[in-house]
Amino acid sequence: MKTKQVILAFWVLLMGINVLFSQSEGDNLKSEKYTISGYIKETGSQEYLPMVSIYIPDRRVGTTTNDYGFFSLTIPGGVHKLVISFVGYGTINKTINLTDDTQLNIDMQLSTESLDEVIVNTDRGVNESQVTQMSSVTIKPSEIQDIPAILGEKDVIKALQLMPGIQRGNEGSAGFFVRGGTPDQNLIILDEAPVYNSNHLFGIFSVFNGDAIKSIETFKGGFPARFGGRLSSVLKIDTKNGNKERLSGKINVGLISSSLLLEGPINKGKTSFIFSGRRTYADLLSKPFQRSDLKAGFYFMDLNFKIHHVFNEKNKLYWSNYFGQDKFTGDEKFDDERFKTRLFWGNVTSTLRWNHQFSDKFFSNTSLIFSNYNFGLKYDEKINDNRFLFKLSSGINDYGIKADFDYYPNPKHSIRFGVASTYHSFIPKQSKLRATEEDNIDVKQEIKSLESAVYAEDDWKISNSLSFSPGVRVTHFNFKSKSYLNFEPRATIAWNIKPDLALKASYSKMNQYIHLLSNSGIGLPTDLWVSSTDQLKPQVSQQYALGLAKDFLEDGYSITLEGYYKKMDDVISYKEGASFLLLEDLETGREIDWEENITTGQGWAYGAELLLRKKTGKLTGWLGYTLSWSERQFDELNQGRKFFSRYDRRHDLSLVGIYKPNEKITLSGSWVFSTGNNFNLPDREALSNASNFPIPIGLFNSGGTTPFSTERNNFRGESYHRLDFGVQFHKKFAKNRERTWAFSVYNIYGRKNPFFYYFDDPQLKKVSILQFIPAINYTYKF
Amino acid sequence: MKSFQYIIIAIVTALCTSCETDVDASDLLEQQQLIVINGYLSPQDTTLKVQISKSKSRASNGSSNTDDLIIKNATVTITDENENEAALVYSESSFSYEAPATDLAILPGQQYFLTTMVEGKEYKAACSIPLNIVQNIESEVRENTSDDFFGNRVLKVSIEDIEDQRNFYIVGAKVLQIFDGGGDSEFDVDFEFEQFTTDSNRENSVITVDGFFDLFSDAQPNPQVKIQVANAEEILYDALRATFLNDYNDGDPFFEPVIAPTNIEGENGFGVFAGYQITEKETTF
Repeated sequence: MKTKQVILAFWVLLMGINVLFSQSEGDNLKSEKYTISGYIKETGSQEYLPMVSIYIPDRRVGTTTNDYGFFSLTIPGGVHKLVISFVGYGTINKTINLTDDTQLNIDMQLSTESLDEVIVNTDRGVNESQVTQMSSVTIKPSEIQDIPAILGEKDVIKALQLMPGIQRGNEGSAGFFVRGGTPDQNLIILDEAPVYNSNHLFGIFSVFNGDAIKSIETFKGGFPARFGGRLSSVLKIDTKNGNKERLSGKINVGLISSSLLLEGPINKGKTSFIFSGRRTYADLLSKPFQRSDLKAGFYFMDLNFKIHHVFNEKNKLYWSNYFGQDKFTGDEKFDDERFKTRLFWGNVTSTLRWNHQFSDKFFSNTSLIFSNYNFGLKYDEKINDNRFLFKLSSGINDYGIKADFDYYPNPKHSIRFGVASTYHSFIPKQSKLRATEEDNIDVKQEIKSLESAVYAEDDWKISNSLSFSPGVRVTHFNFKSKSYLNFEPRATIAWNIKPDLALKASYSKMNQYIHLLSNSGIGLPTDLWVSSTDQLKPQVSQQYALGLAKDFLEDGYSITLEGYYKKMDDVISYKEGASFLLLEDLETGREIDWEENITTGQGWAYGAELLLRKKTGKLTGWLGYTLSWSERQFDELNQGRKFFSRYDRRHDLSLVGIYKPNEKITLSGSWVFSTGNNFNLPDREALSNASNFPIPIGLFNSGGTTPFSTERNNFRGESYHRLDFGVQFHKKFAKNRERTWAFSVYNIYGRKNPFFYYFDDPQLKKVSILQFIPAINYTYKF
Repeated sequence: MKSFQYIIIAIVTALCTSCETDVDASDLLEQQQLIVINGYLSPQDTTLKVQISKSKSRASNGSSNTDDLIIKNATVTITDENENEAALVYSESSFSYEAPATDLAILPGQQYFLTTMVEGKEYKAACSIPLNIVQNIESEVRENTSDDFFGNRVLKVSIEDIEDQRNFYIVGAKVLQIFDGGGDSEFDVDFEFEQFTTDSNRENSVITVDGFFDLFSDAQPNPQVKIQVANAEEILYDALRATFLNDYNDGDPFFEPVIAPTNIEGENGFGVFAGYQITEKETTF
């Protein structure tokens, strides 16, 4: 029955698209319209540029390039002036006499670092007030390189945390919370592959080091129908294709890690590669100083490798790979005793994409996607002739296929539709126990499920002042004999009150079929991804947003103000005191039903966000402010009462500035202020409730007092603020070579921000980390 | 096997060096005082007991003497479904209100009602005594070969599940060791997390839990073990488990403290009034 419904829904979508196809073809014939299509690339590297504006002022129509640099614009024949612009690149003015369908490939020159570019009033597609989309944030990789970062480790997610509506978790954490959601409600896509664990070193760094990244796009609401599967945000990261003209690279040496980027042509103009790698080296540096009988080390690493091949203008292939791992090693040796401990966790993703251009209006991308997250532990003990070996792993494997189509029937419509299916294979726990003279113990839990979706969306320019983006996504999830079929309508409407002022509103419904079980809230590798099942329903959210976007085109400023209300249902949480992967449970090998330990409830998130941004000129940056509330209610938590979520913060303010007075120096600073986090702090004490029970509870039954609390997240910590500062000195050499010395200080005035609180009765103590962390980095580009 | 936790704590410690500061909590903490009432009834008890105390803020600088928290002038009565009533009187020896079990029969499957008056305010609660008691308990003692647990002996306790209902078990044991040179000593067995166990996924089967203790080298090799297994109401199980988990994880910054449940009705009332049945078995190994 469900399968029939999916087929029916897909058929209705195709028919709808077909009707639009037919109408647009009819229009074309009547008015003798022609299509200009092609690709926009960066001069030199030949990287395809997404989000480039192509605008025809006399017709007041325009479009933007898609993720693969492709554009298509159908207009009446005649002489037209084209303005091609993209922030950070020189604007191109081109006049064409359109008498037939035309292929137009354009190379854009990266403007100088001083960004003294002309701001074109007629820029379309890149200004906040002139796009239909709302609740989205874009950051250029170059901005990430400029923003001061902890220990000099430039980090995509840390930079995004400075945007309104995107909040950091605990001090130093690379987990992020979007509009009252949780980290597992963020869909993180790297070259179309979902990334399940985005953290290194227990959340202090993210897995995206930035060297190989081409574009970063984040959606907090008003989600386009092409995205789904998570409730709160989409973070889309695309990597570079590699330089097709010459071999180039970048070496970065920092305090805790070094990285290398290498890119170049394999077959000039046709095939390119890019490789980037990063590794920490505290373990290597400390090796000579460690005792021979006791050795320990920790490192993390990231490797990106991509090959791009152009068969011809209409067929291109991309093969992207990512491998990242954190690893701890510990070895002890005494006489006849030997102990080995290994802990490792990480992601592997691989995506094979094929771009095919069916016609000058019809573009497709087909992806084969693999994503893996794995956590493993190995303990090997040998005492005399007795051996004890314990291996444990948990993880997830995703195998996906996805086909996306872009169709540009006329300047009023940009239609996207597609289909996607992912086979999830979860292994919550796999363990192996071997001990001398003991029976072998092998445990393996598996959950297999299939998640599929079809979608269609349109960016419809109803008139010069009104645009509408309707969309629908139909999702289907199958676990054993249980199926869920859900309909997710999406819509955004934008009304240009003035050419540079738009009023926008959006609605989106999202379903999430996979969930992260976590009771630490900080992104430990023991957090587990699990699937919806017959007992555990998918999480659902509905979000409404209303906003204003204003561009000050002469000055390069833009301002957006948005209010949002998000209702979440069937969100999950551990029951009181429950956890699934406590190490104690692993040791016993005891089977635990994780569904038994989970409770579902509802959530509310609402607030307002303000972003004032300056994108061009010598001084760039932004001021972001968020006023927000985030609440939860579970029947089985907090006595069924509503409570504020841990990272519910009333105020969140960030001020970021990047100043480039000349080509030799970059100054940057950021200041953040936020209301304190909520902590669950046992703040009262009373006589122990165990004292009159006949069985001693634990190893204490003294009849003394016990600390306790009666409300979840009962304690609001102190406010958080810090100032970071960075300075970079650049020197350019011949053949585009450049070296940069970068100095930065994190938390320059040493604010003791709360990491956690505890009682040393009767004194409340605060533990703070990351005060005044200076860093130095050396970068050489060639 | 706790190396993973040690790594996290070591990293945090490294990052936190000299980063601990005292905080003036006077404006940050809830100051409202609670009336904490805990009373557990069982058909096997010889005395009915209810403890009543006040809570205090952990940041208060007042006396840390537990005696100051105890409320001694409350009126406490327990009634059954047939309105039979027992009045409990404060006892200095147990810091609790007590009455002999003969004053009110505590029967399996029956409901009981607690009424207390504390400083002019009334607090009420109700409980049900579990209908069934654990009938069969088996046990064995073996040497502990693992380095990870405290104790050189493992006490394996097997409980035959009470059939066809959801059960919440609390397990405990005491070991009496008699020394070669004379004298004896009693120790509690440490069941760690397994002290609290349910029949979830093990309905109608045998549930086993492992506890650990040290058999001293100068003790006789055949210790006496007294095993206790309580079949408790869920709220009692949850309340005691919360106390155990909060204590066990005290000082772990990554642990989310557990909020204990309450079924005490009345202004600022908190605590648990609940029923249980207990089975005891003594064995010499």
